[in-house]
Amino acid sequence: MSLIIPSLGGLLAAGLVSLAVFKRKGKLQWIVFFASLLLLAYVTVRLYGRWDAGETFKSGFMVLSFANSRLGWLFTAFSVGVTFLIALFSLSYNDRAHSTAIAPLWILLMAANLGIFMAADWLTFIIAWELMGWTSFFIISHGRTRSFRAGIYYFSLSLIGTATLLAAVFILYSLTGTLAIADSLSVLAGGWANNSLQLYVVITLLTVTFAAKSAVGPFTMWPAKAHAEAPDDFSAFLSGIMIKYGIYGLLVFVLPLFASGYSGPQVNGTPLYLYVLGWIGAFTAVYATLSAIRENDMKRLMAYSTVSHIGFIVMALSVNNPLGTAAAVFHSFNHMVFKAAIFLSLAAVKFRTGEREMHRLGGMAYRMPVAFFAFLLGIIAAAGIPPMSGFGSTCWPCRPSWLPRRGSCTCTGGCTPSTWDSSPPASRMSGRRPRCSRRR
Amino acid sequence: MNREVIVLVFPALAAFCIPLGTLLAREFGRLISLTASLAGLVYGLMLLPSVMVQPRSVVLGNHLPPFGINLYFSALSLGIVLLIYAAAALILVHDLVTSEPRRGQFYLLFSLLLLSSGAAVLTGDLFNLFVFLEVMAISSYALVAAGVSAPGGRGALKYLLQGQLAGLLMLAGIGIVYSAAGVLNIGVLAGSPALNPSLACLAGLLLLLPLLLESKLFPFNTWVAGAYEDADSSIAAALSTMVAAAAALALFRLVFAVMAPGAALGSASKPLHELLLLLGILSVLIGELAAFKEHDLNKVLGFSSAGQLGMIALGISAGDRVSVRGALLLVVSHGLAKLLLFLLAAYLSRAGGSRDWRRLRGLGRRLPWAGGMFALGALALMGMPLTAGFWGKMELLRGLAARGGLWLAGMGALLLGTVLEGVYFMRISHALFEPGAEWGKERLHAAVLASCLLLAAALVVLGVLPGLLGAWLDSAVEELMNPAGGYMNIILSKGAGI
Repeated sequence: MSLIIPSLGGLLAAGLVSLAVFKRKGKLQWIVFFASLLLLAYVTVRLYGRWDAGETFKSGFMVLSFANSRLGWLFTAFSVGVTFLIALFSLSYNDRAHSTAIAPLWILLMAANLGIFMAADWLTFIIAWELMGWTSFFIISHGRTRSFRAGIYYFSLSLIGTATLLAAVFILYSLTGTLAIADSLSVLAGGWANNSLQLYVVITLLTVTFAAKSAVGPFTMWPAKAHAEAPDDFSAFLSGIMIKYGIYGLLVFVLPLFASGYSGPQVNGTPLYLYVLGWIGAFTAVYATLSAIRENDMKRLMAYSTVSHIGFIVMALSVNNPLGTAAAVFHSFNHMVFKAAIFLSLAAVKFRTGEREMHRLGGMAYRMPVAFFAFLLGIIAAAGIPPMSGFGSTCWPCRPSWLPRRGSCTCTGGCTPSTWDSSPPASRMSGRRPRCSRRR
Repeated sequence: MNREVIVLVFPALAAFCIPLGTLLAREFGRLISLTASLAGLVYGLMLLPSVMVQPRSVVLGNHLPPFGINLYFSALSLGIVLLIYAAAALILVHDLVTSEPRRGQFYLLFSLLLLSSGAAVLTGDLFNLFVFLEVMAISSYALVAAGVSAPGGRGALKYLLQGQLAGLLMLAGIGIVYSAAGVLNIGVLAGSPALNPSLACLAGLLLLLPLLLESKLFPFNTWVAGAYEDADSSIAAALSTMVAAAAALALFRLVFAVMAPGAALGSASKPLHELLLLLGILSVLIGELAAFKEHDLNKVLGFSSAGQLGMIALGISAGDRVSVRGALLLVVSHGLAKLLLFLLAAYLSRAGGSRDWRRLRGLGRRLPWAGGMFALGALALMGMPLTAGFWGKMELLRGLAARGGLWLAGMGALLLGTVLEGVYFMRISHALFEPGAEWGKERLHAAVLASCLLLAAALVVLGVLPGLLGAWLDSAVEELMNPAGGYMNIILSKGAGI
């Protein structure tokens, strides 16, 4: 029995129909959105244990294939679970005054989400990836001139990423003659001895795609714009889940190429390429943290914090051993959870006050204690302080990079500052309302 | 009996009747030309099943090829003709419901444009192709000039001068081919002994010139800005769908039949393919860049056509099955999407009182269906998944990557072009939904809405189920790639006497 294709079809149909039918300000679209997440949750539960069950969809020369891999399932499960909670939030958040009418596109985005994690061939992956690109652009812009500037910036980067993805895939196809992801990667990984140049071309193109999506290295700028300007409930999804697509891509498509068949240059036992990538991750973490400290806009600050965590995750996965990979995956999921909590509590604050500037929000902790508490737990986790899950996942990446000398990077460099960035909003919101703003 | 030719008779008949009919009723021209295009469409659809099974060469006037003129009806040519007729019908419906009746000559010229673009696709003779291209060009100059309210029409004049020059050069090329090979029938030329390479190069280049001009490839697209600015939106739509599809198909036909290795101009095959690659790359980049900086919707869409036709040229230049299939898919998806965009642009600019997209802010909120379908058409042109454009671009990229070498540059250009395209189209689509001026009670006319919905549905259905076009594509690709198998045999079997 196939599960993935019917649910994808259902999501696409639900998205397109609600795009065509529902009124902009209506509640109905959000109910449909919630219902589609219920469906997705059901499908995800049913998919558990059916590992590598393939499904194919054929129409003429088009063949799309899906497979339920363990890692893909894990990402699906976490993303669906967290989005389910966000959907619950959105259901009440989108009243007449706050509705952004993004639910139909978000349903399409959830279809893309499933497609990205379940794709078994490159064509399917590209379709899902591009679908994710343009739907998220329209959601971020949501018909506001100011958001559009952020959205088009994001979308340009996204298009560049897609272009490099397409180039990589079709070069890969001409090298290996197959579009099946697993086959083509295993053929390619066997080519280190003979054609390492082509391998590097493919790997670099793929890395650009995933780095652009995950805001690593030179692409660190877009979250501060896009996460801040996106609809408030969507920011949680954007910052918690969407930014992990790049991490997933690196884990599934790039890391396997550096498995046992690797015979290129190494630094301290780590492939040179990953070594450089690790450093890029470390710099991303430090740079984003420093940028976060300067920010006064709470959504921008949290966006930078996300980038620093992503840098941290990239650093962990570039260690290229089981512990590092596990740390990267663990921290990805942790980050999904706590960043969604943080952004949703910020959205709740903005829902009441319409304010994003932290210096005008002094004393909110007394007015909205529950939201503040959720927020507090989130940032404690983000800072990696012991009782929270973040502690484990922040510590883990440090171990592989310190312990057996082969790991390399200055993990601490990224790790310590990433604990600083979350404190300012907490202290400001629990502090007294500043005098100057009271006068206003 | 040559009953297939009736497809072309409808618009010809309409064109003959219009001068007299207009004397009787003002509405005569638009109604008869619409009827003719619909009748041709229906008749063509009735022919299609039998032609899909067995392509036919129809000899006119009982003069057998290579001396007589033949029309070649196959899945490929009839399919594109149907696309052209459908485009004409939708443009005329739009004209019918949105504007005052124009003068009779307008519809006469439009019928001639329809006739000649259909015939240019079907014809199997070089000289005949030249004649129809000329008719097509002359009617389009006049139609472009008809859109200009004040006397002048510099754009139309520029188009005329360039077009006529290219036409004359093509005639010179035909002269060279005729004097060297002795025949002008495309099917016969496909099997003739090769000419001297330098002569073949010259003749090939001259033959291609008007096609390159009509398909707006780079050095020959300087007329686009002026002509699209002068032209009425419905004429711009005709230029960029009907004329472009006909020119692209003639380009396919010449390159794969006359200039293939083993044909009369086969010795020029390599340089001409490389030339097409270069022109393709340049027109993708320059066309998209030009569209990027324009604000007039007509010009944006016109330059985007230049970019898209550049992509099609890339597919032709790579010349393998996969790329050709991609390029053909692009011809179809570009035709559908561009027509949708032009119809909507015409409607939106009339409702908003300006063709500058920056002045149309917020109009999409007033006309959500129009705005939404504009975004859909834009996504289809960008080749986003779930729309027809996606598959064309995928197949094309696959072919270009497999071809390797210089064609990787073509792939890079295509990807870069897509990025640019994405940015400017999303800019426009989003501007339609931004809060802007308060618009009055504009409504999308039911007929326009219906035709746009039809196009949008076609784009989505082909995007989700590209297999619907599978059989057509297979036979079209086979016909192009293997002229000796079907095309030449069928034409020559009629003229076995010589």
